[in-house]
Amino acid sequence: MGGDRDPVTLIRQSRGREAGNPSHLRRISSRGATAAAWILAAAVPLVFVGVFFAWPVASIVGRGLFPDGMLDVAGIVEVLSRPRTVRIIGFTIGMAAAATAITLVLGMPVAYVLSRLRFRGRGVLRAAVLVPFVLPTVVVGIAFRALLRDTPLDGSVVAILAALVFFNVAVVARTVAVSWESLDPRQEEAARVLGAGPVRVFVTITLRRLAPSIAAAASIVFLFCSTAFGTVLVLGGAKYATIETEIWLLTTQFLDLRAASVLSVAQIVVVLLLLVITARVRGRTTAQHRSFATRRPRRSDTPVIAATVLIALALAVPLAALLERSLRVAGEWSGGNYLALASTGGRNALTVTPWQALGNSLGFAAAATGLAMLVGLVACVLLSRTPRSPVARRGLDLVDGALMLPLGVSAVTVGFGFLITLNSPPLDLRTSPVLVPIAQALVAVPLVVRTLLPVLRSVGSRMRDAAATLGAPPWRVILTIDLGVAGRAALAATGLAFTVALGEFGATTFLSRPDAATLPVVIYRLIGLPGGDNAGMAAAASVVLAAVCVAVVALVERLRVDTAGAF
Amino acid sequence: MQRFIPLAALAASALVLAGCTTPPDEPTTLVLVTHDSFALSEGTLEAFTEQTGIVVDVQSGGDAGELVNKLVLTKDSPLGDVVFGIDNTFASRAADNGVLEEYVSGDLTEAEDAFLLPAGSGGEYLTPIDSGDVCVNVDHEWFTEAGLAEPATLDDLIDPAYEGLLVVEAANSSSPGLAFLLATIAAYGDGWPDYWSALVDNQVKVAASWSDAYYVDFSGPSSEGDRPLVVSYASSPPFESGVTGVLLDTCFRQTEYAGVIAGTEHPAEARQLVDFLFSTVVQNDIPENMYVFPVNSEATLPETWAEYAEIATDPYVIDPAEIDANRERWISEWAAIATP
Amino acid sequence: MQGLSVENVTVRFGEVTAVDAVSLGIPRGEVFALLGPSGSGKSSLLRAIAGLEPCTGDIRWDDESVMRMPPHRRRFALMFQDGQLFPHLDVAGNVGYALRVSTRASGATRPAIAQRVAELLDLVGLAGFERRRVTDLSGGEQQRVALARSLAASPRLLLLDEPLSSLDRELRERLAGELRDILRATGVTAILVTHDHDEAGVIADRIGILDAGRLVQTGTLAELRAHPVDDRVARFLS
Repeated sequence: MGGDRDPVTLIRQSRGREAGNPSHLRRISSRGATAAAWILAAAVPLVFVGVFFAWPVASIVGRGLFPDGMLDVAGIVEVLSRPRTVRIIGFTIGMAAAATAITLVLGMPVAYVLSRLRFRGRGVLRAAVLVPFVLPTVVVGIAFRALLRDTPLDGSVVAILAALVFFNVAVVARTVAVSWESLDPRQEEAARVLGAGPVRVFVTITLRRLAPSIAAAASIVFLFCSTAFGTVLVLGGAKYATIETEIWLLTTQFLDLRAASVLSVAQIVVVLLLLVITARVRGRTTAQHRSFATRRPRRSDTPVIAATVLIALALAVPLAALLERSLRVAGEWSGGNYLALASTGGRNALTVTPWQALGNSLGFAAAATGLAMLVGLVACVLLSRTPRSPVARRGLDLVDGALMLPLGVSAVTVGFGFLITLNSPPLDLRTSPVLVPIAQALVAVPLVVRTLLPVLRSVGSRMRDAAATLGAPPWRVILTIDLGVAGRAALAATGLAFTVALGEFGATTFLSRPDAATLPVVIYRLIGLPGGDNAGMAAAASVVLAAVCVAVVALVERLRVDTAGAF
Repeated sequence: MQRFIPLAALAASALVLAGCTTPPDEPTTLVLVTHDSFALSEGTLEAFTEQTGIVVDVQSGGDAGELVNKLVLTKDSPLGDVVFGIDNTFASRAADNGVLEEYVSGDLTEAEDAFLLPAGSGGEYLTPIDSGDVCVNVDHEWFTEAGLAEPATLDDLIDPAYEGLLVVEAANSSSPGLAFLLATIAAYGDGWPDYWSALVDNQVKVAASWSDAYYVDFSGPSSEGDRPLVVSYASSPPFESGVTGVLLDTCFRQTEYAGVIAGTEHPAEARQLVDFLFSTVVQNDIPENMYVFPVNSEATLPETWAEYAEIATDPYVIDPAEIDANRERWISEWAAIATP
Repeated sequence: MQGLSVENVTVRFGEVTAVDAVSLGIPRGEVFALLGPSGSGKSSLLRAIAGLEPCTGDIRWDDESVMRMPPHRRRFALMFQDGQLFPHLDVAGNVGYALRVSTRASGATRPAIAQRVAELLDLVGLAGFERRRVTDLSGGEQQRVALARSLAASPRLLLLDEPLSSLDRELRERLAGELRDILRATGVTAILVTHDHDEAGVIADRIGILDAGRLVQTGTLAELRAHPVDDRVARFLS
């Protein structure tokens, strides 16, 4: 190797001389610009989550844990040693885990049917599975309780689990369907030819390849379940306390910030543990994603189709009850409840009509979706890269985890955090309507990331290399390759984000103003008033909310992001 | 990097929105912080603006409990100028934490004395605005059909004759639920746990929220349930055209107050707004918008209210300071008995 | 020198030296094959030339160093072993990609792109395939599309990384002849990486043998066969 030294030195010198060349300088600055662009890109999700989540939560938790500027160790130990605290944390994790497992099992056949089979009304079904997701929990809770009232299930854990599954099947069905769509069915066919039975093929090939998206769906469902509020209270008859309900009680009723903060930290720990577990399952998949043609149902699909139909029917029962309620006025069939949506309700129950509230909802949800997609896409493009340096890789894992936190931390904690942080210019947003879409987007971003990331990670670095050598600058590679491949998934993510934003209630009611009330807020108010006409209106407004959600999502998904030229 | 412009634009517009301060020639704007049940007819607050030139910006969100806690947490940079909706169960917490300026409307007369808070429990800070009783509501039709005499008192509710007929809201998740618990504490003193054990033995149903107690379990005309007794408001029967009624001996009185938030930059104007909330303009508007009774003795009630709404003459009350001191313990003990 | 000159290029992955001080010159219009067993560093050298792998040494085109140029500015198109077609685009979308994305090509009109795509598809024997989904194509068809896509950019240098090795033997032999004809027809300068000396002999004007990261000999297949520099080369070529 000794003989190599001189030429290397020569080259270094010649490079040094080249530095005087203006075109060379331009190249250096363009490389610097690329690095700056990546840093800027990383800043988008970090600043968003930092300012609107981490800072508020850290502040409110800090007030509880550091009451006089000192860590209140004795106080924390006291809270943690209460048998109630331990029981609540245990119950929350157990309940969420059970609900997640059931949701996964029931969601898989639906995901299969949605991703692999071609039939009339597939697009509508894809959108319709989202309906439970958008409905206000209070309305669904009442519909469920009305069904269970005279059974031993009323007020039981089983009722809570059933409702949690009802709300979350859509997450599994849709997240997994996006990945399933892009699995090459020939691999399964090859295994079948080699003599493997269908169950074996499913377990050894399909499940293994779907593992990343199943893990993603499971983590989302788990977090939704572990922070469920209305569902747990209403269906459990206020008998069961979870971390979420306890934080609400401690913060809003007892002003016991210390105990609430300990539980908020417990929530964060749960999220982190979950991330560690799912990261193991998920790994960094490199499987190629393509979109394979769907096919007509075959006889062998009968069990899956039957299961899907049964699940769909089960999901439809509470919805049908709601629809029926919306069509009755004083016990008689009538469309009166829908006509009333143009009014402010019986005896002036509302400050805006439900139609106006729907307009507000759509406006907020559209803004929130745009924001969530922007932050989510930037985050996904970033997270899908595999940097050479292990430090940078670990950094990306941290960003990944940070983006999931808003799903797992109580809306009460975040809301009160907003109040004590975003209180001085230029960020005095406490009374600004801007906070509503921001709060909705915080919840939607993790969904966007978990839907898009598996697909973006499947875009191999070599495909990006091919694009680069064809003359595409890095930003064009992102637009034409990453986002091109993720186009369908991006539409699915947009639909999910929109749905979540449209149905969001906790943060919205905390922040909303009477003149800009959203439809869920209005529904909540209507159902909180006596008199049959208000309850009927609430049911009708819920049906409208569901219908609008299906329509918008179905429309979004009809859009085609076809060629690179579209960007 | 053009893709990043929308966020930047949004952030910038947010900053602009937030950064706006009132130019000197603009009218004073008061922020009225209240809970999510706040409502007045269109034009009511505008009347105030016409009278005084002061614009009112309503910030409503969260329930009554959250309201006081919000004020406590934001003491160093107040959310607004005037608060409305602090009730007697939270009044002493607001007073103790120094979130209010000392002011009570001078327009109050002796006729409203009953609504005043004791000194030390918020009496120096809060002006009563409305009042509503939480009482057991009864489905008259059901009892007529069943040929059973209606119960009248809290004692009656533990009579085996009324087994399985009552639904209440949980005291740890519902405001009327807590009010009913307070009624029993006021009635039985330290013996209230025994009373609740008896209620549980008599098959009381505990629902998490008013909505599902009223619409799922109650047997009233607009409900689907089979229990003819429900904890609700004294103002509920007018909505059911008199098919339901109120057991007047089971009521706990909830009074809502307004006050001037400490640290306001417009204390004089804030006082004007508190006075306005007590004036008959607002008071006449309260029943049909917030389903509670006005406290001003000169206010007039709407017709259906005059016909069906009843007011307890001797409702249960507890000193707000005592409520605040014992809330957590009472609720925990209650939960152990009622929701095992 | 007109064309590519590689001077003393070294590629390291941590402790491993994949390409060890390789120097090499390829005049314009020449098709050069890098031949070597797997693990000999040929793909790494190709990626370094494309700008996808950091390296030391110097790489020049027409006496101008491209070391500091990012891949998309070098105009060195790289065609992968497995095509790396873009699954979300149809055949025309893939072939016309370079015409739409590269800054040099900006301003190309839609009809002009469509015409160029048609010409290229004709060149690779896939006339009329524009609207086909790339996932529905056979392996051979996919590689033809990949070739057309690489040529569309009118690259100064075409880098072919084992373009035929994923195909079965019969197809490989047939396509090798076609590939040679296409490269001749377009007059493009090209580097072909392969481990198959027959393929190298059919397609390339000149062959370089890479062994353990070092370029051990260059020449035509006949020259190499006649005068192998050592036993390893002789055995590899037999």
